[in-house]
Amino acid sequence: MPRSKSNGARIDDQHPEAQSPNVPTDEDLSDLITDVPELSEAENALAHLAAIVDSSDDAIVSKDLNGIIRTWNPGAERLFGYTAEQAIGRSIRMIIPAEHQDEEDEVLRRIRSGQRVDHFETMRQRSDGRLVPISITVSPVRDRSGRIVGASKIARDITAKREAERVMQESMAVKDQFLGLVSHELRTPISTIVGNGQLLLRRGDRLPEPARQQALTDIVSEGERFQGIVENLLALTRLRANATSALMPVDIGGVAEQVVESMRRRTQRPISLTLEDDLPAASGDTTGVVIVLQNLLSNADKYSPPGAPIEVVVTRDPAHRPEVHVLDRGMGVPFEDAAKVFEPFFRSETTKLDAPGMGLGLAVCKQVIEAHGGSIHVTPRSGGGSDFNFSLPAFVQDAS
Amino acid sequence: MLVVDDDAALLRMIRLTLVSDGFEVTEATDGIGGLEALEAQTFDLLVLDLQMPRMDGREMYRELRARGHDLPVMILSAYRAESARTELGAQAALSKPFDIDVLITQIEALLAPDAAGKD
Repeated sequence: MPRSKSNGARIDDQHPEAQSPNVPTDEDLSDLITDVPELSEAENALAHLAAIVDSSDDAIVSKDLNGIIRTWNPGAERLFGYTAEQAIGRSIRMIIPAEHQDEEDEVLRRIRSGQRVDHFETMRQRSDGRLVPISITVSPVRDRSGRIVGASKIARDITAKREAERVMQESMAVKDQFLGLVSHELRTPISTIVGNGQLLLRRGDRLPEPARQQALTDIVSEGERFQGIVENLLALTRLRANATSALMPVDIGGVAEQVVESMRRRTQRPISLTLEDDLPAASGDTTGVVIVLQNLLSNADKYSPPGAPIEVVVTRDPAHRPEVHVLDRGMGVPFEDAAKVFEPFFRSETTKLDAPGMGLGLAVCKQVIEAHGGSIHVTPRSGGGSDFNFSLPAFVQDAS
Repeated sequence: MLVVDDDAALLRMIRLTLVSDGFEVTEATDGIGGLEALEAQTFDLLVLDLQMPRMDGREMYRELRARGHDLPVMILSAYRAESARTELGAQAALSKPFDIDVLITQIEALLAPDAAGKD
């Protein structure tokens, strides 16, 4: 290895600059880099190298063949927490955690046989006991006759890299979980729709009439379920892209009538609607408010026993803001889940058993309502069931 | 045969298909119900969904093998059905959504006498 035989690469502790604990300023450096005329060319080259070592962000350390530290730059002081004074003369093993001590035997074995250790990632221990992930490159140091007398080691803190890798892995796991969930939730209704269609087309003549009716009913209801999931995913995507539409007056009573009417066509259970007189218009985006009400009504239907009524009440809160209550006699929301039900993909242990879903509906409701400057809550009803309610800012005509 | 899937509408569609082709079908909606059915009765085939509440398909598969049930199993899943088949060592896999005639063809292949030693 001709490179390591050159005088320039030799680390020589006769040059105190290489050990200076002070980080040179740019000015110091330019002084050094501009050759000093009274020094020889070789001395200039050494001073130049020493300045580079001193100003390096990486830890640059040299040790002899017994692992005793000979030089220790400011980068090493910052990375490992020991000053040059504390480190020089001690074994490099002081920064190696117990479970990594055998690495040093291997490193010294390689150095003695003239080999390098390249970008080896491991852990080292700082003076305060903290472990720090590092990448090290170790090369043999030779004297003028070419004999290996020690090793130079460059160590880089890879905490940020490790953290980035961890975040990447986490986000991959979340993405994988999300894909699994979306695949399951979208492909299951499609399987039912397509399968029933094929069944009616290919075996329709063999099926008894009630089976044909069931297949058609399932095609319609699973199509609606599919549509609901797609609408929610689109709503979430729009909200994440921050593309909230301009706030317009929303006829909240009209929206409630429309959503209740469409829900009545999909379920056998009674749904009542009570509208307070002279309701103020809400300020918002009608499509968003429709999605919220559809989700709340569809949940009330999904989680209530057959025949149990749903009540929708549109009123105003004490601040005269329009307020909507969707009241059911379903299983209720356990106290500890009251905030969590609005988190994306949250499904309580009981709802998982009761009905399919991906835990998107209420998360969409909360994000839509909050994007409008409103608030949404769930409170238990006396006599059982839940009161899902939200309020929206009243629309105020802009005078300008 | 036993069909285990947590989605009621999908289960109805599979049952209608299989029954109209002359198969006898027992249903369960999660792994626990599936294992109970296996203990109560002998089946020639199990069609098994993966993502289910209470006990999922993977857990049910491992448990039924541990209990010595050696019937052929077809994994029916919306997500990575084939890789789950390899992971578990199941006999067949079908991804949702699927063609009902492919489902029937695969079931007939699994039930054919020469499929007994098939891995």
